[in-house]
Amino acid sequence: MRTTPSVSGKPLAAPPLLDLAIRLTGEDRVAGAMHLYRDLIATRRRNVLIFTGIALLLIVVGQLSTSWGGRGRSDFALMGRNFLDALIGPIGILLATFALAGGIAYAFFGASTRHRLRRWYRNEGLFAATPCSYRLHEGGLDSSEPHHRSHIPAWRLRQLAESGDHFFIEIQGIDDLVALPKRDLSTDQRRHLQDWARFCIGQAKPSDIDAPEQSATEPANEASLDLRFHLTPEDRTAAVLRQQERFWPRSRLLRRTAFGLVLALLLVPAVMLFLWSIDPDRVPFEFALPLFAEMAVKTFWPVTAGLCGLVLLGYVTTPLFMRLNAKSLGKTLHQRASDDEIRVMVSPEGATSRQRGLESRYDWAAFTGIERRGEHIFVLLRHGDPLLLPVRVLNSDQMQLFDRLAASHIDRAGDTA
Amino acid sequence: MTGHRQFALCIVLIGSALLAGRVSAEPLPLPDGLTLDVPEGWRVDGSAEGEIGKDGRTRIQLVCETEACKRTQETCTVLMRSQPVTGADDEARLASLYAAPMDRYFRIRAVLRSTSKDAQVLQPLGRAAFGARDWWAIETDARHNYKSGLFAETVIAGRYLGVICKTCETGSERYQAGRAIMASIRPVD
Repeated sequence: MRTTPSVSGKPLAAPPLLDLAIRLTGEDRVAGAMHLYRDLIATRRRNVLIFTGIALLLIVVGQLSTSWGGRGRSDFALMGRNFLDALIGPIGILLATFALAGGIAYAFFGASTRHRLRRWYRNEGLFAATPCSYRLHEGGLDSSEPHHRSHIPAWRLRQLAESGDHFFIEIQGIDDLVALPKRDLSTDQRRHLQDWARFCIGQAKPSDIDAPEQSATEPANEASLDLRFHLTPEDRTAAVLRQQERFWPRSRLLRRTAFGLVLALLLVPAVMLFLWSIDPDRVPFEFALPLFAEMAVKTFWPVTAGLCGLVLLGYVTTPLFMRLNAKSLGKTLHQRASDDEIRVMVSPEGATSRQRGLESRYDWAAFTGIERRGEHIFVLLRHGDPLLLPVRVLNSDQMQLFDRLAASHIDRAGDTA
Repeated sequence: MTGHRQFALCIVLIGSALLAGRVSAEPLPLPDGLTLDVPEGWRVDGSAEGEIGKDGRTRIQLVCETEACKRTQETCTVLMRSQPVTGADDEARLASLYAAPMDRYFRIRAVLRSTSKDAQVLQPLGRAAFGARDWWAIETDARHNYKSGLFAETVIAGRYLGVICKTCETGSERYQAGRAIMASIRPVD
């Protein structure tokens, strides 16, 4: 990945206006998310190796202690022989299985993450292509997609990164970026984009930018809401948890558990049949089959029961792990973002969100519904992540007004959009 | 007179045969206070005390040298373990030998390997009575030019005892001498 330096090589003259028309597909969203969260993905990928290493170490230490016990405690050669014997047997198979599983998980971590993201966007109806237009100017970047316009000031741009198929315009202090697929950009446009990035990125924040933001008020209107708040780690946790629970609904967890149970029940017979099939001295099938059936029931039932227990334990503990994961991820995301005041204005014309220079305006037609989850309200967008409103920032009058506005605009907008 | 001579000859021949049978079925002492009868025309090949193999088991090799055995090349090997088999009584000990299905699987696999490539199971592994005692027995049928085998194991007074008899005979009547050897194994009075 290449990035555009923020200071060196900055052209003196402002670049000409550049208008881009892009069809943003699900694959572009996936590429954007992979780029935006590349540090978190890399950390998790590294954790796979660490956990695999710990598991391997525990198995080896356990076997060493077994080889060490019993007779001949002082006989290191005997211990070594016992250990090597065990390595050739079931312990070796267990180690190789763990190492292989860990290696595969590590090698395919990027692909599996991309697969999950793809699935997420498809589930959320965000995989279809959306027509977007961008205007790059000396003041920053204006974007427009159906029923939604936004502005990113130049001083909030962090860098222009580049991958094989995309340019990524990164934004300071928020978990968002603009992904521009190269397929929709001509060579000229690409050059202009890079010139624009060199000019804009690294611009100092205007000294008076916060003052009007803080004091600005919308025209006095009893039918409008003006909410100001800071997001807390708990708010971000709620957003992550919503994503996880939508990605893993109860029905999907049940399906996965049923599949896991079937696999657990079939694993021992499958391994036995596999070993039998590769054995050059295998016992004829008519004698082996009843013995295998008896082995599966009498000898290996603890293995099967253990596997089934693990699958059921996974089913029971998944919600707990999702909450823990969401809490940890919410905290991490909060640390990555700057603690800006967010101002959300809701009126009969639509909703506007401002965050230290960033501005997004939504027509009501951009929204598809309201989802209340505990202490949070998610205003669902047709083409993007929902707006998050903590319930604590609305008093009872504001809540009633919000409900009225949403009820009178969102259904109608949803029908006509 | 002729009839009397013939009768006397028969008596003599029968008496000789009975005498010969008694004399040839020589008792052979085994370790751990056991004994067996070596049939007529059989002899111990090697040391009568047997040889201890790498697996710690004592092996006594019996070879048939009768006229019929020139063709069948029948042999029997008696195997004894030094470690006693644990259990309440011999019946329980015998049952414990193959209580686990995996042990039965690997027993079948081992006897097929020991017989020949492409050997087949003629009589599956199961309990059989040879003499007054119960045995675990399995019989294999070897491919052409290899010896088939009768593999039997029992427990006598806590001692493991195995007998492997092999023959080139392909008919249905096999191992008569081998079964007689097994039936004759007993504790020394």
